[in-house]
Amino acid sequence: MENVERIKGKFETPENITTHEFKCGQKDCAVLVHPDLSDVQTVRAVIYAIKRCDRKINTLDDFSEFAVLEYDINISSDVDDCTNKLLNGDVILCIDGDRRYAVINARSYTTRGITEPPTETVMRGPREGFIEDLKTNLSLLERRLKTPDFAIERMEIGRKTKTNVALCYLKSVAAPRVVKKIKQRLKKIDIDGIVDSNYLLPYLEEKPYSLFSQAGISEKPDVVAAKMLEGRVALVVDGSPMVVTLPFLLIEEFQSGEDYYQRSMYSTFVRVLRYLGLILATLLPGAYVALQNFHYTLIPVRFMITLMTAIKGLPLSPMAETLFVLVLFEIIREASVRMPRAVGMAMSIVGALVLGETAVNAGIISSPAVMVTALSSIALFTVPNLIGPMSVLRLIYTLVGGLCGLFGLTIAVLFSLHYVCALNAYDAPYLAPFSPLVYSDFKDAVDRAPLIQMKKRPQSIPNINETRQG
Amino acid sequence: MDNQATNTDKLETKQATGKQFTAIIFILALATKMFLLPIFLIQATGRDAYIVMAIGGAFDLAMLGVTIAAVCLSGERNLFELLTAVFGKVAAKTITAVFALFMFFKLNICVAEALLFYADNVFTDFSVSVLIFVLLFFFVAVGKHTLRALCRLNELIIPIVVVCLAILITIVLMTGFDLANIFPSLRDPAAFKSGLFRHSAWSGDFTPLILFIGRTKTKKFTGLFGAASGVSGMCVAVFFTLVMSAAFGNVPVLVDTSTNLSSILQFSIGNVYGRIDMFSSVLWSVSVFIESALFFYATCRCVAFVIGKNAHVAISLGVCVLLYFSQVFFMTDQTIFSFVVTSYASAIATPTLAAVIPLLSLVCVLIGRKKHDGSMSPAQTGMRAEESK
Repeated sequence: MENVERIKGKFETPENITTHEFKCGQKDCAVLVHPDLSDVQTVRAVIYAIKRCDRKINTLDDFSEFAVLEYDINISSDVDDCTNKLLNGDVILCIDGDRRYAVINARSYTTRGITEPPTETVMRGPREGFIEDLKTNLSLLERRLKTPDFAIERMEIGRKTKTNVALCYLKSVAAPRVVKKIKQRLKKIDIDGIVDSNYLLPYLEEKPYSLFSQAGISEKPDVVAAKMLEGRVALVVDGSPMVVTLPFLLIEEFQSGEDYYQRSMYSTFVRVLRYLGLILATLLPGAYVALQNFHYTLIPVRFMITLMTAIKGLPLSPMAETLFVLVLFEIIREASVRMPRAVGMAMSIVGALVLGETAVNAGIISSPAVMVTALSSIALFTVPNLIGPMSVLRLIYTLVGGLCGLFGLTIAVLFSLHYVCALNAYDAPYLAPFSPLVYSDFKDAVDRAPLIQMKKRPQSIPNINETRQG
Repeated sequence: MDNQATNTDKLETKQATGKQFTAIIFILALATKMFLLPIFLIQATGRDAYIVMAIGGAFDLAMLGVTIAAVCLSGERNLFELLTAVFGKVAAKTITAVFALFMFFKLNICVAEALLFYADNVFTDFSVSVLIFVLLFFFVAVGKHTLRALCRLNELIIPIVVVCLAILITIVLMTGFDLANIFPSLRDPAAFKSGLFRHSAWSGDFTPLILFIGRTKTKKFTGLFGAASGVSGMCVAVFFTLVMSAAFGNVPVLVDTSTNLSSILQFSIGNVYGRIDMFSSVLWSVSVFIESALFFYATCRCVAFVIGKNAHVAISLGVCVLLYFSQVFFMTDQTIFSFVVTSYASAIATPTLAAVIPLLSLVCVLIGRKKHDGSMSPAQTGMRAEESK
């Protein structure tokens, strides 16, 4: 059949597409199906229904009229579009004499069940997480945002992968110019494939080379829904459990979904700990090296004596020894993440206990350096999303502190802060509400005020509807 | 829908917000005036140092008033556009070149002061020729980015500066000082004159604010808050010098270029708080770095206008090279530094330019407004009058 050949001609290996040819009355019919992506039962049912049909089916319109209640049917004459649909798992029906195609929804993929995401576990609150199926992910969001305002704009990205991407936002809240800008950027993407939502980030971020992420990533529908309610736009990508949210502020790294399900006072306390933890994690090794190398008069005398006893006879300088321990820690961390879980545990024990203890006993490194690194590393885990950038900054600060003392350390911190201050994505200042100062947004920055006080949406995120509650 | 104003519009339409402008004024009023200047003044003037500081401060505040007026009246056009509109392109570039030289001179003073502080107090062996590179990296980043980034950085740093200030003032008040030591005043007119002379190189701290002309989102009380911020900053600086004068006025030989407060403490109650003081002084130096960065930024933007190219990275690198040579070969030598800041040329040129720059800016703004009003139709003028009401 000519119609069938036109579609099969598009494929390099047409044998991967199964063709069922049959007669319906006097007409030759054919059903094209991708066996790996379609539901075989639907295919059988379609053929059975046509063959058993009492009515005379001469055209696809007759079939559509007959089966409209049974199946999701679209009539199309675009061969490329139909080929694409076929590759997405739809069934294509052709009838001799009709140059068009009927596209019947028969998509069926195997997906995993909805589970709690390992990256965002909570003690309290919803435990649902996104999975790799776009439809399921959208339904998880739609179940939480039951409003006609919920806009979903679908598009395909990737010349080869033709990945389905859904742009979700609340039309009465999200700023139109932000939505427009995101759409423009997505449309400009000309790549062969998108296999995960993280692939989109360099195209959406203002500074793709930056150390800091300028887009939010979440695996939890409750978190994404809450962000959409603040005026953000969500990008759901088929095949990825990670949903991207834009615009993004640095304070989001310090917020956890659980903060809103606990007592506000406790959430505030935890957030203060996170901020302190991050400062400690990044600056402690650098300050330790700077003080030991250049400004030992600033160290209290008793502590100084203990320190001197510990570092006596060490072959490495304070900077070299701290850098050594830091790099060692990074290697152990990376190895334990990549290794299978059981081996990873053993690796941690070997790394932390055996290697650390032996190195101290052998007099290669001092116990204060190990303690400083351990304290800094534990503190770093209070803000898991910033582990990457802060690990790099910590190494740089240690190097600068060791070479240039407090003078270098002060300027290095100023340099980093200035860089972060310059980030401004989608009209949302990255460091807001601290800089520029937005008093009203402090309710959800370091502090986590009770929800009854959050009557307005955050001003730092562009939106067109300020009021959240009356 | 696109025309609807979003919340961020209120925050980010211009380079600086009114709050950021006020915060910058506070930093400029305090940074170098509370760093090493009081020590230099005491060395030159003795117990009358605070009067010199007050006179210098009053002069700077007057010029601040002029600058604030220019910023508040400027509308949408920045300084370079206004200069071009009023004087023509060639004259505007010549004037801007003089501005750039002045900013570069002030940049050198600030950087030299910061380096001197670290070399004398924080490091036992401070190699300026190597360590200055760290500062230059920061300056290149400042030159590459916008004024907005610098304003935001300053806004972020202000709480730290205020905390340091609170610690310093608390310690000063705790140590107790005899105010009677500053009397009788003006007993040595020659020393007083010498102090005034020495102070002149430090005048013009508010001149980089001309960059805020046409780029600041002003509100009804922005000018007032800015002026209040400048006055309060200056009062703190004068108070601090007063304390120093009371402590050292009669024995200026005891003052060296160490941190101000450490000196007081060593003199009055020993070195009990030395560590806290040192930490807060190091943090305080951040404000001096910010002031230096603002002068650097002003220099770079003036140079960019003069050469007519927005090659910010290249210009920043060029200014950094010049700064490196001037610092390493001239300014860090205490004799040359002292000669530069106390020379007749500096004593005359610095205050003159510190006055001319804001006054000329205000004149440009006023002429620009007049021209703009003249080019508007009577109906538009009427609408503008309505808006201003």
